[in-house]
Amino acid sequence: MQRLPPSLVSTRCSSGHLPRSWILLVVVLSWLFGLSVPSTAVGRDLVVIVHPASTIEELGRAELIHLFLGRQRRLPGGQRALVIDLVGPGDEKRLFYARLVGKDLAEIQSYWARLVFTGRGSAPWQAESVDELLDLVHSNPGAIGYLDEANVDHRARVVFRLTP
Amino acid sequence: MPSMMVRSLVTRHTLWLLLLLAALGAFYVWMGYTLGMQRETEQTQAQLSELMDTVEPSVAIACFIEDPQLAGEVAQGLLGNRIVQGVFIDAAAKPLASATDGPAAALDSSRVLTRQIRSPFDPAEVVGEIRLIPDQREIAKRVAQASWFVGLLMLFQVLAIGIATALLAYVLVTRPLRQVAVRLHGLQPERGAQLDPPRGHEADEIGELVRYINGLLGRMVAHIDEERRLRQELEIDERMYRSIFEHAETGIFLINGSGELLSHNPSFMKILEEAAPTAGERSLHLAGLFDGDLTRVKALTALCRQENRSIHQDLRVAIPRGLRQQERWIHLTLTPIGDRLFQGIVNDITERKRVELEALEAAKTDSLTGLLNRMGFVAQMRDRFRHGLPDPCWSVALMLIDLDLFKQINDSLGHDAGDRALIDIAQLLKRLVRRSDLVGRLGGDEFVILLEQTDRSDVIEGIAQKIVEAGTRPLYVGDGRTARIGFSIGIAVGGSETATPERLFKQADEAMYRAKRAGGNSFQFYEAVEQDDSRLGTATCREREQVVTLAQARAFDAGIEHPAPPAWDRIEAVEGTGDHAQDRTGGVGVATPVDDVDQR
Repeated sequence: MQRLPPSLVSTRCSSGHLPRSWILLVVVLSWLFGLSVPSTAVGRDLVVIVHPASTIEELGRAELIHLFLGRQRRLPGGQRALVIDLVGPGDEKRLFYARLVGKDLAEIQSYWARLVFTGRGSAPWQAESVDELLDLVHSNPGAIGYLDEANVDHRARVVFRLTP
Repeated sequence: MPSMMVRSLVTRHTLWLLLLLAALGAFYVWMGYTLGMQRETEQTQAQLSELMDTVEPSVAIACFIEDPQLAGEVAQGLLGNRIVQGVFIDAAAKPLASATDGPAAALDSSRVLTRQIRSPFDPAEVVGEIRLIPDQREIAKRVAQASWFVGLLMLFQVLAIGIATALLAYVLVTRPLRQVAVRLHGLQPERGAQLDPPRGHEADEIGELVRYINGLLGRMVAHIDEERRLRQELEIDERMYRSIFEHAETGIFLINGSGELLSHNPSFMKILEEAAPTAGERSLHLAGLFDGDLTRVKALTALCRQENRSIHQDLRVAIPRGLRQQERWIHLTLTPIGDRLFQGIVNDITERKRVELEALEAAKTDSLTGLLNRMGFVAQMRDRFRHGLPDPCWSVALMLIDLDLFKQINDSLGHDAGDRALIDIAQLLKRLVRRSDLVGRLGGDEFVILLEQTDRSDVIEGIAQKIVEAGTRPLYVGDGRTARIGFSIGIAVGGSETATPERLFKQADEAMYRAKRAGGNSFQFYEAVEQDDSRLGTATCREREQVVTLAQARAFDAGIEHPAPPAWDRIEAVEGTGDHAQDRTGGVGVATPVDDVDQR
């Protein structure tokens, strides 16, 4: 949904004289699509969270990639990491990987599938909802996950911010 | 022709061609191999690069999560490729997986292909590297296969070209040349036969060659004919000269420098055999004509060579005829031919020589009395002087004898009686002197005697006295008649210092006239102002010489200059004037050389 409008706009814009009615149509369509996925807004920041008592103050982008794609299995503090994907209706997982490594979910899926086949890697835990995610983070000192900035509460602490 | 296979044009031509083509082919194969190797290596590199492109995502993941399993699978997969000999995958400098065909140490890592592997999620991060080692053996195998193919093609090409050119050379060159050679072999150019060019080659180089050969043959046949004709002429000439040579009366021969005979004709052989009949082997030497004296032969040839012209010589050859010898004269002409050979001609001139000698003898002899005539006497007198003058003690006495009253015999008794008287007087004179002394009749009633080595006046006087005494006796003149006659004798004496025939004749003449004026039948010595009395004494010259030597020694001691030696040269000068001098002498003291007058 995010890729389509720019492509349309860019196509049309490149044609030069873009009619007002086309722009209107795009706006309406965007709004309608936005209604069908109500919980997460497209333009909101995603934040990476850890256990509130974790010693980690801040994480680098590279460390995040290493952790979420299986290269690094321990947190910087030495704790065994519990990596959690959020696969709820809010489309956070797709946004997260798109923003972190520029890949879509199919690619991530394929990646993990290959690793699982060799028996080497283990994919992140798939949390079905924000609550489950927050509970898991709160109950595991080595947990690390991500969610919409708006949904962060006391059960977790933000260590990284992914802007759109 | 098969035995000449190796030397045949076709074979040589083909062999050379094949050799050249083989060399060229080898060069091409080598070039192809080198270029193929290079191209194949480049291709392999490209293939390896493509292979790496293919496996790079998987390797990136394996390196990213450092999974040896995944890396190993990729490595094994790559090794399955024939051009890959070794695969090494490292994650962050830590070996992750490797796969090699054969022991890792044996790998040729000089052409290793390395690529850095970046994180699949972050292109900025290098997470490892992959190294591929190409299989050079495989590359070489491929190149070799390709080269073999090229080589095989080359071989076929070389063979095809070789066979084709051999055939062409045989058909175009060798076969027609052989045809020409075979025809030439059986050709009889002396019968005017000509060479035909092989069919189809009339206008090309072979036809041209045939035309040249025909031209050459024609010229040679003409030359040979000419030569044959000349040889026949020469043969005729040769036979002619040979005949002349064989049958000539003249002896003809050829010798070398040392006188050995190289060639001679029968006439020469005859002459030589007569000259040296017992010589045998040595008779084949020119020395046979010189009593076997080699040095004379060598001197003759040396002179001939030095003068470089013909030398003529009359040779007297003594030919033994039984017990007594016969004399033979040979005229020899020797002509140098080049440096080493001499051609000679000999003629028997005995008869001519005899006639000559007889004529000479007659010219010197008075036919009536058998004594020397004026010419003969003077000539012999000169000989004596020539031989005697060098001896300082030599001396002569000349007696000039004029008959008194001879004219009356002739007038009253006739010429026969006169002649008879002259003959008797001649014999008388010869009896009175030694055999070695000369007696001559100068003409008419004038006789002359030359006594040699007689410086003692008593001996001379004795002889003169005997002649005068004979004059007192009557002379028998034939037919029972006798006549009276007298001798007026003039005597001149000379030694080696002063004597010349002319002076002696003149002096004797003067003395003779004095005798005649004194009444006849007497003798007178020539008396000169400077006449040295000591010369005419009872002592001989040898005895006097010692006295002179002593006197000279004393004179030398006293510092007196040595007396001048006798003027021999002056005498020789008079001698040297030859016939004229002789003629003047013939006048008996009438002609006087100016020198003599001065000296007197």
